[in-house]
Amino acid sequence: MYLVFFCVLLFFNCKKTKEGNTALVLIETNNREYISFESTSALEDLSIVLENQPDIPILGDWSIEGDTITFIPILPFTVGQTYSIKNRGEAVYVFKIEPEDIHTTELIAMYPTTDSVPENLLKMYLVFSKPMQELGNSLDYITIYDNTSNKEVTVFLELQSELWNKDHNTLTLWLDPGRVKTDLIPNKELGLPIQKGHNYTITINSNWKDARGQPIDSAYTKTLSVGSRDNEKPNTANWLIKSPKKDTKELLNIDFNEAMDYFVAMEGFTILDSDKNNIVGTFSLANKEHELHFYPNQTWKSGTYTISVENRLEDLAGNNLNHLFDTDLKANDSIVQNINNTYMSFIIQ
Amino acid sequence: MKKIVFSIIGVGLAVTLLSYMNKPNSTLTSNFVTGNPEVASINAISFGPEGILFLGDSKNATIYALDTKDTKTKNASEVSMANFDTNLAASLGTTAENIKITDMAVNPISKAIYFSVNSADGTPLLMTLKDGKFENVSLKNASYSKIELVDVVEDKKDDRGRDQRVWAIADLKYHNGRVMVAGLSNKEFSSTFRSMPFPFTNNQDYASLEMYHAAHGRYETYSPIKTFDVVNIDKKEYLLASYTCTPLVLFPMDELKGTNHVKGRTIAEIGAGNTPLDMIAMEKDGKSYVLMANTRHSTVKFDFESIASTKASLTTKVEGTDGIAFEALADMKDVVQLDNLDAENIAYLQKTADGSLTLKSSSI
Repeated sequence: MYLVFFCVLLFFNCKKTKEGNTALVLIETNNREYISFESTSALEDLSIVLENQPDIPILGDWSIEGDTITFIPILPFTVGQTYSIKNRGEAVYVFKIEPEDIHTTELIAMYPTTDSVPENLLKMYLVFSKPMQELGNSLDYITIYDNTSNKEVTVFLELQSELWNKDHNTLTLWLDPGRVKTDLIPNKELGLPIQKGHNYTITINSNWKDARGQPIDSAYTKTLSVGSRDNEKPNTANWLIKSPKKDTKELLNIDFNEAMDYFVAMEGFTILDSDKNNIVGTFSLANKEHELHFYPNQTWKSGTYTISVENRLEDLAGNNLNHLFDTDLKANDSIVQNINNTYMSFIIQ
Repeated sequence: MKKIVFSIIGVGLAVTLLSYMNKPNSTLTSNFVTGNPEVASINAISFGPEGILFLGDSKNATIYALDTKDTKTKNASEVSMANFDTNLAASLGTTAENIKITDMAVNPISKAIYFSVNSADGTPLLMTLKDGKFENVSLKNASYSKIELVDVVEDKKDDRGRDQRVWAIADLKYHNGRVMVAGLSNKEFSSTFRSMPFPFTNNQDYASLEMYHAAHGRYETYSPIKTFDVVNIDKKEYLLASYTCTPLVLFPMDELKGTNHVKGRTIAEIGAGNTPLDMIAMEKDGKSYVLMANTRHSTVKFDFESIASTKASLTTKVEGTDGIAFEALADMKDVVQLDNLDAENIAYLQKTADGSLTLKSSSI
């Protein structure tokens, strides 16, 4: 009675099918953003539902241009889900969103990249090649096994609001600071998150999905061999600066003599010429975050250069140039120095 | 035909004019603009006056004030929906594991319940529940104003494209002409509390708050506030804040100005291994209470009089609980969102044994 003629227009390959007594002319679709089709139905007669939730219409914007009807769901269709187009309550067309045939997401780095860490290690970073799902349940996909005690352990702090960057491809994980700081109750009850002399395997589960709903390409593991507590602030006096040669674009190499926090170190340096002009170039960390490399865009000239280091630069234990992470910040206690920058210089002859 | 068109335009203009004339207190929205605010995430929501909803966006480190125009006064009716998350997800064409409900707020005028939702692919959504059906509050053509959260330590200019700073907004409240935001930066493990006048100006205060953390046994400025509310004690306003592991701390509001370093008074300790999730003040039978939902413990109820009258200041290390007394509400375990539905009723989202969420209302 209500013969509906659908033409689902998406991409370019067409096929005809029949479903019940309703003829459909459709073009195969795998578009998450919208669906359009030709129909003589009134908009108010149409709805789109999840196939297994037939009574709850999906919210979105309907529009009509000529005989072409377009539906844009407020949330793009989900990969793997099957949907029905309904006319006056009757399903007239069913479609499924297949996984997109594009490169899967990889875990491209886990910082620190070194396996040898102090027992008061404070942070780790996971860097993915593409944005990851935004559901605030990342710790469900990370397991830590203590190979020395042969048991799974809890190491990372659970936060309601996870610390991802804006692109949602880099996650900051804190080893519970309440356990890292000495004499706090979490520290006394549970001990340090990781123990000196122990060896751990961190496994990133391959079921972890990216923002498009596709699992990452494989599981990843990283080993941590835990050494002594780092109770010293990074000291610029221990750093070794290898100056580049005049009239070259050679790298400026700063050897910290210890591993630094990757992201803070990448942001914490500015190189200035003798007139205090910022030298434009590229920074990178090398040798498992023990060294900073700076390649200038222009060739070096002779003169005295300044390296400006932000004092928030941290080692792996969260000790910065101003104070140790394990500092008791008492009310009227001004033991914590509050300097923004430390300056070092080097000369190119 | 032309006549009809002109008549329609005429009526349209008249209606527009009338709607402006009928808006007595438009001063709050006078600096609002219309358009797409390009909200990147919604981590916390809270209603202000006149149907204005504040949205906390961690990704953009920005607070938005949105004119919902949802200002028709209604009485609250009882709320009950099992499988709330499944139903909400189905109305979005997906399944419960693909969405996260980040906050819930009741419009005090229309009593409509609003939910902020983040989907797995990062799409932020603002939803309401009206007469048992979900509706989307579109942000594409919204009337809004906004303020960016500035950092105490100025951010490195992003000329290397490497700035990774994110402002994780934990809680957001409007109170008496000010918007208050608690949060945490991903770089330094430090708590930040911002307070700014509304309508937004260029001013924002970022007091650093210090409290004696009785479970940790030391003064701390690093602990991030998880949830807070503003309370009146002897005609003076106080920020009542709670932190992980779980102290309840009072800060005098009049001291939270500029970049002051303010020391709070810890009045209760609910216990270690627990994180507070949400806090509201409510009334019942003429008495005032504060309710706080938790991860490990049931929702707890504080008698407001004991908060107001306590001289407690926990400055020695506590094992277990201490300070003012509280009642644990046994049937309100695993409550994840909490707000006032009307003067004497609350609405809340509770996790059930099978892991799904139920929306309920109660007079406690």
